[in-house]
Amino acid sequence: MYRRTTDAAAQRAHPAKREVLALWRALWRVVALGSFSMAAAGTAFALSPGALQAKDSDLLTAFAGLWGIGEVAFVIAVLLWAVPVFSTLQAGVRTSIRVGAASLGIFGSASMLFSALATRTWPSASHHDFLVPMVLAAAALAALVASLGTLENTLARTLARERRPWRAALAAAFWVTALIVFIGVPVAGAWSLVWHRTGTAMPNMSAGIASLLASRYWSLGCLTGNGGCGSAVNSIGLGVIVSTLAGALGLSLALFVHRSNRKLRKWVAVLVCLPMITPPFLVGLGLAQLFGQAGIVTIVLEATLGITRSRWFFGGYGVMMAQVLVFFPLAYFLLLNALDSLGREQIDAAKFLGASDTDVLRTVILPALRDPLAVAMLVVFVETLSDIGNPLVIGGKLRVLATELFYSSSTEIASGEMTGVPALLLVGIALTMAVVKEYLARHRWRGNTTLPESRERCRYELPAPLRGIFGALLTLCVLTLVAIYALLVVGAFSEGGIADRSFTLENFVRGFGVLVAQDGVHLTGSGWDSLIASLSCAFLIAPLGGVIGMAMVWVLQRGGLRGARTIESISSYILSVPSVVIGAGFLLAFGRFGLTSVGAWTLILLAMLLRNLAVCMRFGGVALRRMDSAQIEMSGLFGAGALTTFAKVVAPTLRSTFVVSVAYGFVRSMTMLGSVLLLSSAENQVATTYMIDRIGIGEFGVGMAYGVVLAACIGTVLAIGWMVASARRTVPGLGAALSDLKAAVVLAQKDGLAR
Amino acid sequence: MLVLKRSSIEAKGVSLSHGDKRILSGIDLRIESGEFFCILGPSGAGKTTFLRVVAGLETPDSGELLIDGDPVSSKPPQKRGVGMVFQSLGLWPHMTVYETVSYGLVRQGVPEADIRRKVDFMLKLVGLDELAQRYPGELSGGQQQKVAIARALVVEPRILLLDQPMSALDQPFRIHLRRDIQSLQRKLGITTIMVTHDPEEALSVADRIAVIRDGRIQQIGSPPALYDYPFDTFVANSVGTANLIAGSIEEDEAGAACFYSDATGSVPLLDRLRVPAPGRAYACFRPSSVHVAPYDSSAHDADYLWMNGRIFRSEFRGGYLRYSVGVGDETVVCDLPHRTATLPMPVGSEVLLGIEISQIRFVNA
Amino acid sequence: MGKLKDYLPGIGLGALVFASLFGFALSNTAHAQARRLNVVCSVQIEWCELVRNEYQRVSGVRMTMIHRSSIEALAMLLAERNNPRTDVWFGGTGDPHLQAAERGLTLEYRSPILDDLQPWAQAQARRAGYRTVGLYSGVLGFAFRPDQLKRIGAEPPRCWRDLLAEPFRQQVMMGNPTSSGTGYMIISALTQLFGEEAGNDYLKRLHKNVAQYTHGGRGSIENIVRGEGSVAIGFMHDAIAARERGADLEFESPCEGTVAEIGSLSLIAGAANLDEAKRFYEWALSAEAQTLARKVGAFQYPSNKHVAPEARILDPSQTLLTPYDHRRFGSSQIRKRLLSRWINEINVPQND
Repeated sequence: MYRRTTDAAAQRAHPAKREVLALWRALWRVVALGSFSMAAAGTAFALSPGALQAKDSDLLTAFAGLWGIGEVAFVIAVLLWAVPVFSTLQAGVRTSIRVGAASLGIFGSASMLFSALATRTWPSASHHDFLVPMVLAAAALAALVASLGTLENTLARTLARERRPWRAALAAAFWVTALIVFIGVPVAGAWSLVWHRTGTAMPNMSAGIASLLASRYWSLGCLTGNGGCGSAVNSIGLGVIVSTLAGALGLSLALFVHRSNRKLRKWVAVLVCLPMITPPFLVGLGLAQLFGQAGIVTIVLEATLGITRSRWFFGGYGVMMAQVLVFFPLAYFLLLNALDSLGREQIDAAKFLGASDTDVLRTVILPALRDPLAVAMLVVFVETLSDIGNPLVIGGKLRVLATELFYSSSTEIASGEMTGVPALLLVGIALTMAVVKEYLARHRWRGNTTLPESRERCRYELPAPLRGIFGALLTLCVLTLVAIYALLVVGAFSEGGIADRSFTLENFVRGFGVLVAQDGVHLTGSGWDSLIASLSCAFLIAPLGGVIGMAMVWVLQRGGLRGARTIESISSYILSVPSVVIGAGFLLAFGRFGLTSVGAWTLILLAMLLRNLAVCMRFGGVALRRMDSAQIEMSGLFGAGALTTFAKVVAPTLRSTFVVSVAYGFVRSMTMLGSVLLLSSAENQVATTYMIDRIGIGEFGVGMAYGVVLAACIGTVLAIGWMVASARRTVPGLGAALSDLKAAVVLAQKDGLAR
Repeated sequence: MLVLKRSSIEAKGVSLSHGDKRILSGIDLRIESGEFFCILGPSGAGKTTFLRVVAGLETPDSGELLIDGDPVSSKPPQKRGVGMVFQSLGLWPHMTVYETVSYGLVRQGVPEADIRRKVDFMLKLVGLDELAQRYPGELSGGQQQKVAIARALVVEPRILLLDQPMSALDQPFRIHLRRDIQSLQRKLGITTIMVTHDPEEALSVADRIAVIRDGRIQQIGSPPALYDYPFDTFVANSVGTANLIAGSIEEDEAGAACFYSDATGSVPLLDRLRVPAPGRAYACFRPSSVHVAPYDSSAHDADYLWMNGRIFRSEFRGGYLRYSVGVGDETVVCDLPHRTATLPMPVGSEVLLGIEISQIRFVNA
Repeated sequence: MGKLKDYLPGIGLGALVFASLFGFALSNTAHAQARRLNVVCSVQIEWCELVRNEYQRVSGVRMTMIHRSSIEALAMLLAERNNPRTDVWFGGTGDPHLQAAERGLTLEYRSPILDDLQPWAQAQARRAGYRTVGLYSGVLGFAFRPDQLKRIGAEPPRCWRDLLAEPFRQQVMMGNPTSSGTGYMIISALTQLFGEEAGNDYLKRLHKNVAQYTHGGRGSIENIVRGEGSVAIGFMHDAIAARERGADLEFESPCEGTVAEIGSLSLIAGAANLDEAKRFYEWALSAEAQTLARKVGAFQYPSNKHVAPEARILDPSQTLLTPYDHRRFGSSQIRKRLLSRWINEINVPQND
């Protein structure tokens, strides 16, 4: 469309002007070609194992490592150069190829930019240090502009649903590129570590397979009684057990709470959410206070029943208990939602035909809940894979993939494949589960006619014996959670072990002491830096993620981009990659040259932003689709552009969704551990890493005090946000908006985008 | 073969409130065995609630419910021998048609062979025998309805309750389903109560209709009876389009009661048995009983009520034309059959309306 | 290509992003004009904070104190070697300091008061080519709670081989050799005492009894104090500190022999604030500074001869010490080999 008009305009122009236009086109092509070459080189560079494993911080040497890639990568680099060239010259290349080429171009430029950022603090003393990154950055920029130019030209013709379709294409390319760069590169790094040995260019297949199947990951000793089990076996086993237990627990509680009054529901929801808004390892810590060798329950049992104290808790059992308690809320909310949306008539009809309560449970309710339950279990499975806090704190000698990855990455003694293999295994398992889960979540009952919408909500009453059991289970859960958090508070205010407690404020003073002196207020506590850092990151990322996420979803949907849905679902697969892998991958890909403070913070922020963006896109997508598209069409009909429509029509309705996305993002950023753990160092500490640190060196009291302060912070911010949001009464149609929200939250939980 | 009993239902003074809201007030009904009984009323009138009371899903605060003369208020739904088809069907998406229909029989512990026999028979009866292994999501709306009906009937209830069965369907399917339900009922002879808000539906299938408003029964009667002899304007409007001319009942010079309004003038009341009370009243007649002729000021038959008016709207409805004629301040709707290749009367033309006085009902409210 | 004004929002956003990145980078390097000093401190945090507060008070210098374990400090110095931001490395067990010296990360410097230091401190300086100096010393041994031992029915361990006994299953705490200097000292001590093969065999058998390889060395003692384990392999001064805090802890040095660490002090090569660094270095070695440590529960044996002795702080020479071949076990090659063997042969599922 644009080219036609430009051509037409060109034809009508003065001959001299025509010449100039032709020259401009040719020049543009040359620039594009050159930039694409740089972009291709940058891509190959980022992916090359030589670059990834370079211990040297000399960028040029690393660049020279380019030629150690191997034939395959080189061919890819040539292709990357050739395709954009042809696509700029010829008209008939498929859109998907162009989008792919443009994405790769953007990817190459972004990775070069990042290498530049991560390498040096700039400006610095030496010009040599300064020059190389600047050149890279300039090349990156040129490549970026060229890629965009290609996109705009071609996509304007094929995606003409809106006046400015390039926005949609840009957003799509940006998102895909971001995913490729920030997920793909780390995973590629891990991949290369497994197959390449340092110094060799060609992949070593046999060594790679041997390391993937090594006994340290797959040993089955714990089952045969001969030693312990490998980390992969432990991870998978833990995942299976925890997801089953959490699913069962969530199901029982959902069935019990479903029929209860509003008050009980609200209180249970609040209590059960607690583990979700605090770092998960706090639950482990609290349980250790109860069941550890010096735990309350253990001591009481010894005193009354004479059972000798032991460390049975630390290891598989403890981690299992902690993870069940932390993750069962995911199953609980999913199942409760599914239960509530069951139609009343299904139950009434069954009862009518003579079914007892137990029959109804068996034949109507459980089959209907089968898919939500499966999805919930899969979500919990992926979560346990990514959980690194609990194994670190209460795992004892338990090996899981997450901790293996962490230990390998944090010491340079470990050889490359010891980092690569756990990372790859984690990614493989997580992606498999994600794909299965996505398939199940999309599953509808056979056929595509919808059944009539039920007028009334389901009110199912459990048969009496089950009601008793589940009620007891709920009480036990609630009591345990309350006990855990109470013990954390008690621990925060005391010194020494359980047996010899003494009240003290020392922990708080050490962590958060404040000194009011003549020259102002000094924050003397050692925890302030990390807390402020966490809060700053969260406050920066949460709204940013919300805005960008919503805007991108809007642009993708309204721009009429074919496959917007596919992009969304691919995003959710890719983002199910455990965050420890992201952290390790970032470290490998961008940090081997020596992470500067700026670089480290950037990467930490990026890791948070990525998680956040995915969740916000999901929320926004759901809310947007539920919006009446007629409203949007009408606005367009009245001549408003996409931006105006967004601002005046869409944004007010999405305001509540936006608020929730921001709140969610805030909480996630504050409690995120996996990706940050590897990227943090003494300067770049965030709240969670500081806590793990303290707990690691045995200062449980300070750790617990920090936990209390952190929970208080998060709670306060959420409460303030809630009050502001409800006081302003800016949310029209609150009821509808809240139900949107519930659906979106459930969907996001289904995606397991919790951590 | 299915052996279906037929029962009679009697409701005496059934009342129900939800909190402060009165849903049903003193319902008195008697439904004969084998009858296709319809409860007609606007949404919120309480018709579904009454159905649920009969089914046993709701308990009335006061009053009695008798099935075949036995009080059933204490019996749970399973023991009443009632089959119910819910408005949103309550089909189980995870069960095939066969499993759904056989559910009740399985619960009763009927042997496998008998189940198969009965279910096959029922499916054949409703026309779904080819689709026994399908899931509800693979069926059309009408087929889903039939599954629900089959499920209710296969356990051989003595009463069948239908809660707005056609509400989820589109127009042509409604008519098909309506006819299918009617023929099914005729074949089986089971006492059926259907709840609906669509007068056309009620008129076409029911043996008798009860018009309900705000929890009270306004009138019970056969379709023609309700259509021709409504007790009040509400019933008149419920069963179809009605022309209502506001006026008053007065005594003329001879002392005889007559109806007076500005549009109609003075109209003598012929039916001595049904004389409404003096005071405000309405003249009620159907659009089909109005003759429309071009304006003519010559003398007219005294058996008719003559009015002059002007057409302000004409709607072509295929088989007939509906004219809205303004008579003074009132609007009179007239339906005239349409003959092929004739043109409707133009809007704005002056016309003369004639209504046979015997066809007019005079009601108070 | 579309009108320019269509691109304006994108261009504006891009410009904003780049401007902020630039600003961020710039502000990072904007230095205050005050006297500054950057120290990485590898002893317990209380001691670090004491040092910082005291020195700031005494000298008026603005000190940034980073607290890292000795291994992490070494990694950090390696990473920033071309552009060091740290000036002094205070404390931490000796081996990483020796490796730093070997790799040229630290500066050769002879303090004027070198002769005031204990012979082992001077020896440490000599073997590193004067790129480091001994700051304190500590003996490696067993820390345990007698009441806890009674509970698990174990005899108080007097020798290394006692730890292999059955009652100690899952009750021994020690630092993770890959992340803790203390942990590495343990395996290098065993290698020296029994030879590499026998030492590895011992560790293999000990693995079953280990409850947890804690992240940092002190963590193992803290766990024993809490009762989450029965015996910790750690430094005597940590055990004494815990005892001072009220824990019922006893300390034994192993009968077969043990080693003593030499905590060290180093100046960083290429330090930005070299003069301030040297002044701090001298202060740290002085008797006044070293006497302060015990105030915050740091009971390491100080290197300055003129520090008044105290009963609580035991002289390492009073215990049976095997001379620790610091040079050998401080070399990165040996370290790599020992740790690789530990990772690949000892910390594996078969030994669980």
